[in-house]
Amino acid sequence: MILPAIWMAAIVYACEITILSIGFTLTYLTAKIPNFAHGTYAGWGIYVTYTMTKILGLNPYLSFPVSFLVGGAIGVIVYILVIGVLGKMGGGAIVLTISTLAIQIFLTATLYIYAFWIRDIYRTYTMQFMLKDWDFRLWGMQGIFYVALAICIVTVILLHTFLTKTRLGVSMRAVAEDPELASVLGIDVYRTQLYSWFLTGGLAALAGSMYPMWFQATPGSGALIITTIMAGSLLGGMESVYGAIVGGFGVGLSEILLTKWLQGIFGIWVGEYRPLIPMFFLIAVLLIQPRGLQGAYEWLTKSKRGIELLSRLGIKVE
Amino acid sequence: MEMLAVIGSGVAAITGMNRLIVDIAMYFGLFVIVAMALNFQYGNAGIPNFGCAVQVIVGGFTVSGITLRLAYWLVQKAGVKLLPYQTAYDWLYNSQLNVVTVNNFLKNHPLVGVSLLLFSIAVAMVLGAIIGWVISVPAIRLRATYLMITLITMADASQIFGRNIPYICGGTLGIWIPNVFAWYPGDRGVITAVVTLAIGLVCFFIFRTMLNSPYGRLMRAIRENEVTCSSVGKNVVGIRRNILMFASAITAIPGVMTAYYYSYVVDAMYQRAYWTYWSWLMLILGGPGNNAGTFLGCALVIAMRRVIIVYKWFFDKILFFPISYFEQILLGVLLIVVMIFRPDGLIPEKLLYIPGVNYTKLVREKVKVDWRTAPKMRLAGKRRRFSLKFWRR
Amino acid sequence: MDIDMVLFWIMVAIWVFMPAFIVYEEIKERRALKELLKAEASEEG
Repeated sequence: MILPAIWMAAIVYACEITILSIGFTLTYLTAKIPNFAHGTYAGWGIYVTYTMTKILGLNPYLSFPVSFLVGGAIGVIVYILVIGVLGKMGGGAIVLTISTLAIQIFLTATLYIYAFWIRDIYRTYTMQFMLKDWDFRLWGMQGIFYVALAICIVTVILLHTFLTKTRLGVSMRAVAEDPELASVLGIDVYRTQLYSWFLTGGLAALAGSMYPMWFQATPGSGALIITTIMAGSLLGGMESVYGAIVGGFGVGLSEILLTKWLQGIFGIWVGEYRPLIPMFFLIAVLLIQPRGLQGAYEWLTKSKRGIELLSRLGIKVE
Repeated sequence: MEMLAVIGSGVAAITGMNRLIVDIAMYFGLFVIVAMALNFQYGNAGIPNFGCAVQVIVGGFTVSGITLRLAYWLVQKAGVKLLPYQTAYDWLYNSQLNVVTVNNFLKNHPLVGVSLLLFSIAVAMVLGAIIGWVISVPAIRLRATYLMITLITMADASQIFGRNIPYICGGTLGIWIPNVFAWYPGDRGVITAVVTLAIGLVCFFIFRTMLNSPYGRLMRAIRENEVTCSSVGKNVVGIRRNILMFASAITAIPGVMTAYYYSYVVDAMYQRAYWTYWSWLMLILGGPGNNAGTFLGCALVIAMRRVIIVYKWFFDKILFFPISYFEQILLGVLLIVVMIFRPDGLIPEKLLYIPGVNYTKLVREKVKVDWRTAPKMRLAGKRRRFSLKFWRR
Repeated sequence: MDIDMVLFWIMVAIWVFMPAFIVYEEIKERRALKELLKAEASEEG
C-alpha cells in the first residue's frame, strides 16, 4: 500500500462529496433553493450500480454512464412535475424547499421499495452491501481510488469548460443570474432549466455509483449524505461552483480524517459522532460567514477591515 | 342508560375497537399540540421551524433523564429497596425491575405519581424554553432556507446525542419509565389520552387568546414586513426569540406524554421524520395561519394513518413491501399535491377580524393573505391557480 | 360504574368538543367579517 487505507477512503469519499456539492451548488444557482433530494439522486445511483452488477453481472464501471442517464432522468422528471409547476405558480423559496423535502421522502421510500422488490425476486441481500469484490486492483491499490480521482478531476475540468466556453453552459449561467433578462436575449429558459436539472441529477447519480465500491450502502445512505453535501456546498459559498469544489473536498476529507484523529485522542466512541462533523461545519459557516469561503475571500480582499487585517499580516493586496 | 351499564360492566379493560379509539385520541392529542405550536411559529410568525423534533426530544429526555432519577430517589427515601443504578450498565440492566418496584410504590401513593407528572411537565417546559433560546440564536441572523437547513441539522444532532449517551435515555436500548398513573384502577392508555387531550384543550385556548390579541397582530406584522416593524420600534429579534421559546416549551409536552404512554423512551421514537414531517403535513394540509385548519389537518392525517394500520392485512396482500414505506410515499405525495392544488390549505387564512376596527380606514384594497409568499406579499391579491398552461406552450 | 368507561366518554367528549368549538368560533368570525365588509361597502357606495 502506497497510502494508508484511511487516506484512500478519505480521498474517494471527498471526491464523491465534491461532485455532489458541485451539483448541489448548481441547483442552488439555477433554482435558488437548497435541493434536499440531492442525496437521494446519489442513492438511486447506488442502486443502479447494484442492479447492474449483481443482477445483470456486468462490470460496475459500465454502470456509471447508465446511472448518469437515470439520475438525469429523475432530475428532469422532478423538475417537470414539481419544481417547475410550483415556481410558475409563484411559490416562494420556502414552498420549493418543502417540496424538495417531500421529494426526498418520496424517493427514499421508492428506493426502499425497490430494494425489497429485488430481494423478493432475486433472493439476494440488498440492504447493506459493498461492491468491493467487483473492482480491479492496480499497483496494489483498489481501482476505485484512481477512477474516483480521475472522474472528479475530469468532471471539474469539463464543467469549467462547459460553463465558460459552450453556449449551453453560458446560457445556464445567464438563466441562473437573471431569468427574465435571459429570456429577453432569446434563451429558452425552460429548456435551459431542463438541461441544468438533467446535469445535476446525472452528476449526483454518478457520484452515488462510486459510493458502494468502497463504503457500505443502504437504501437510506443517499439521504444520510445530504448533510455532508450541504456542509460542503455551504463551506464553499452556496453561490460559487469553485467554492463548492474546495468546500466539498474539505468537508469530505475532514469527516473521515478528523474522525480517525479524534478517535486516536479520545477513544473509539467518537466514531458514532461522525455525522456531527459536517453539521458542525454547517452551523459554524452559517453563523460566522453565511457566504462561505467565497464570502470570506471577498471579505478579506474587498472590505476595509479585511484589507487592514491582510496588511497587518504582511500581505499586500491591490 | 342501561346500554352504558352493560358496556361498562362487561369490559374490564379497553380492548378491540375501543383500543383503536383510545390510540387515535392519544396520537391526535399529541400531534395537535405540536401542530398548533408549529402553526404559532410558522403560520403566524413566519419562522419555518423544521427542527421541532428537537423540541419534542427534550420532553422525552426530561422524563427519562430527570424524572426517573427523581422517582428512584424518592422511592429510596421512602424506604423501598431498589437495585443499584449508579453506573450506566446497572442503570439500563436493572431498569425494568426497578420500574416494577417503583410502580408498586406508586400504586399506593397516588400523590407522588401526580406530582411526578406535573414535575416532568414543568421541567420539560423549562428545558424546552432553553432549547427554544438555542434555536433562536441562528434564527436571528438567518432567514427562510438557511434557517431550515440549520434547524434540520440540529434535530439530527440531538437524535445522535440521545442515541450515544446512555445517561439520558439508555442509548440504543432505551429505558423503562414508571407508570405515574399506577393508582388508576383502569387502563393506563385511557387516562394518558385524557390528560393529553385536556392539555391540548388548554393549549388551544392559550394559543387562541394569544393569536387574537395585539400580540397576534404583532406576530403577523413581523411575518409580513420586518423592516417596517423594527422601524416603528418593535424589538423584532426579541419577539422572535420569545415566540420560539414559548412554542418550544409547549412542544416539549407531547414528548413527555409520549414517554408516559409507552412507558419507554428510546431515541428512535423521536425520529425527525416522524415528528417533523407529519406535523408539517398536518399544518400545510389544514392551512397555516388559523387553528381550525391545523385541527382539520391533524384529524385527516391521523385518520389516514390509522386506517392504513388497521387495514394492514389488506395492504399486505396487494403490496409486497412494509407499510411504513407506503406511508412515507403517501406523505411525500400528499405534501406536493397539497402545495400544488391547494396552497392555502384546506381552510385558508382569513382576514383578521378585530372587533371595533373599521377596515376601510385601515386597508383600501382587499388583500388575500397568501402564506406561500410570506414574509413578502409579492402576489397580494392575485394568486395563480394551478393550470395546465405550464405544459402547453 | 367502571371508571374506565367514564374516562373513555370524557375523552370522546373532549375530542368532539374541541373541533366543535373551533368551528363555532370560525363561523362566528366569518359571519361578523362579512357583515362588516358589507356594511362598509354599502356605506361607501
